[in-house]
Amino acid sequence: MATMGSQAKTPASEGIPLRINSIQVEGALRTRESVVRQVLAPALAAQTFESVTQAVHQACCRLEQLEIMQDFQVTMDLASGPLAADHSVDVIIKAKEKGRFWARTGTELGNSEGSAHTSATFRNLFGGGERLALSGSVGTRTRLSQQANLTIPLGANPYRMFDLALYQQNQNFQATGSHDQLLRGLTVALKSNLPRFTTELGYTAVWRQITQLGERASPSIRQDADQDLKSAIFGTIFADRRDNAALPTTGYMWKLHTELAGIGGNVEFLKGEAHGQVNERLGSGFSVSTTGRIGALKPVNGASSRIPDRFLLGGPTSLRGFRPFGVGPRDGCDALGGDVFWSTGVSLFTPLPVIDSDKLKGHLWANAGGLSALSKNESIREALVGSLARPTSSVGAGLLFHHGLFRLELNLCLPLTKSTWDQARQGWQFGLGIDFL
Amino acid sequence: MASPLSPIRSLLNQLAATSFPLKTFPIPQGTSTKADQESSNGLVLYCYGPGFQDDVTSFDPPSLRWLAYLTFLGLEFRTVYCNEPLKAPNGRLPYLLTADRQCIADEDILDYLRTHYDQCLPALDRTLTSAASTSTPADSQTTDASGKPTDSPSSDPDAARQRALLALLENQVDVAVRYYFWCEPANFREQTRYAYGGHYPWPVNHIEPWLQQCQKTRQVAAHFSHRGLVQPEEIYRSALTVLQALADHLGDHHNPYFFTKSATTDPASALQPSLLDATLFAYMFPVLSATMPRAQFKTMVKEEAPRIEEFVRNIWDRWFKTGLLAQESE
Repeated sequence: MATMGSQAKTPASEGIPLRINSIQVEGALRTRESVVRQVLAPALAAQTFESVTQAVHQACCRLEQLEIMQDFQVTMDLASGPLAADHSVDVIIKAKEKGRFWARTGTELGNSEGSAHTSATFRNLFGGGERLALSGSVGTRTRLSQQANLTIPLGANPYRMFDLALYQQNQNFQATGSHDQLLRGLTVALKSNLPRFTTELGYTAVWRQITQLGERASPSIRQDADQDLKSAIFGTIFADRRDNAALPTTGYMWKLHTELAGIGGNVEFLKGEAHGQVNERLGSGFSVSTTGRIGALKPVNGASSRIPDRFLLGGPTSLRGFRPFGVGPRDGCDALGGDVFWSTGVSLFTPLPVIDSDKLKGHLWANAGGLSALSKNESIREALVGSLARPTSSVGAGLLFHHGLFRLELNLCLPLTKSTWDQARQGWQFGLGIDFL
Repeated sequence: MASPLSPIRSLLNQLAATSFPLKTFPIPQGTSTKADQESSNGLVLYCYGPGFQDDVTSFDPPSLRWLAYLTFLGLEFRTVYCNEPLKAPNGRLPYLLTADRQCIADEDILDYLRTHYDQCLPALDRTLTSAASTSTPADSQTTDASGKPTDSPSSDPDAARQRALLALLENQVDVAVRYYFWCEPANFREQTRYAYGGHYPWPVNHIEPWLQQCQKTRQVAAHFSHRGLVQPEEIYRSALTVLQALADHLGDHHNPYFFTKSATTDPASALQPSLLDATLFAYMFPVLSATMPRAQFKTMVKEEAPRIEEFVRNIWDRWFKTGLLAQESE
């Protein structure tokens, strides 16, 4: 139980004057008093009836968002103590602390990937809304993943988090690059949910190994098979105002990501990536979606880029009408990735003539893009201009099913232009994912 | 009356008749993979290296074995000291990249050489390869220069001896060398971990050699699992017994290589070292050339098997020293 006294002295300028004489929080058994004080501080400063009720409500919401407490019952009564000021109330908040431990198992579907996972989460670890999540998963693309994630709210604010993650991942690139990538690393990041966008600023150190080279691994892949240590700072800004991530019909999304590697470790590069999407309803069940992506990677000191850092392009979620990672530099069957990429797509979602459903729609689309490697002494601009001059493009039509969390697509694809090394896929292509071009 | 689907049908027919994509752009000029450039000049041996004291050999016995053997065969090849076993097809160095961009793993190199450079191989190694590989009986039959079939490998006493000596080397000496470099704590701390992992960034330069050390230690322990606790001296002593037997087999200093006495009928082959010579050199050269803080094995070899030291010096002088001098003069 935490009890606090109000120190507010200034008179209310508007509304019914009211101050909080004391607040009593019942049920906060494992939560630190300092955290409860921080959460309730705005309520203690409130001086009108409206602001008091609003601040108490927000404090309860905040405690719930921090996953500390639930089932709130708030009682306000006129303060009756001998030292109680006029127009002041005593507030009693009764709540239950959330369970400290929960576990779950399940399956997930992502961009052309399926996985089964199990996780255990410890809530309110040190009494301040800290959360420790331990998870493991096996999947088609990420063969095996283990992760420990500690999230600490800063200033008892659920919108500002410090995040520490330790992980090990084995990613399967056998089908497209004849190798696996084994990543072991740690990431520390500061995440802020601002009203208009989300920011993330952090540092990552990853020990990366290119392993399990297939028998038919190309010499290029074999030559790049190595282990390195990437030590990088990164920043991300992300805004999402779409009505739905998997099948948006209105709103916009943009994302900027930049990474500077070379603060320790043996990988040095500067990388930047931008994504944007605008969606518009046209009426009568029609909507149009326009997406653009662009990215560049510039190794420092004349070194060549490494496979895990390079961009990959092609496939139902990134450039329809081409095989997964089938666009850009290759050696034999192996996609080598590139240093500069761009892609853009326009999709028209249409209602179906017979079936009246928001989940099943028709889809007409056009995609274009390019991926190229930076050759020696070539600037990013030159590479990008060169890539724009020989675009890889396709058009098509199909059906899509919106599950709610992900989207399924079946498209008839017609590749229009390509480079010699691109692997076009004319005909039917099946896509499953969230983030489509 | 035309069907309402007929325009769609005709469109589909038109599409089916059109060849897609409509335009294919050529790959920009000057775009060639690094591997294209690497493999354009014949054989490339990817291995650990260079040596502890020189720039032309390797500190790693399996790497030095094939480096020495290819040198003995007189083949044109290039050595790349990549020091990264992840590149190898089986996760172990060395491996051979051929001109036609094939990657040949450590254990398949001899078969590859037999298939593609049979004439360069010493007669003894040709029989050895035939006996060791799982080829058909027809393949395993060897012929002499005149085309007459020679004796089968099993009936060749030199081939049998060579196989036996190779097996002894790979069994007893290998484990001693492994122990010397990986399990002697001072040697690992001062030399081995820098040789095998010094090129990695911190902290991988500590983790990776340590992981390899754990693996080698397990292998050594498994080798002696039937004998309980084994002292280093016992490991070195059993290797020394083999080395002394090899020294006896070598004979006096007039025989630079193994089986030179029995090859007197063919003077050319007497001058060509075999796989056994390469293997013994590969095991003993790193031991004798490295300056280790705990050099018990090296001292034992120098004192109790001087013929082996002489053999190693002879190979070094004849086959590598000149290469080193040439490299220095460049």
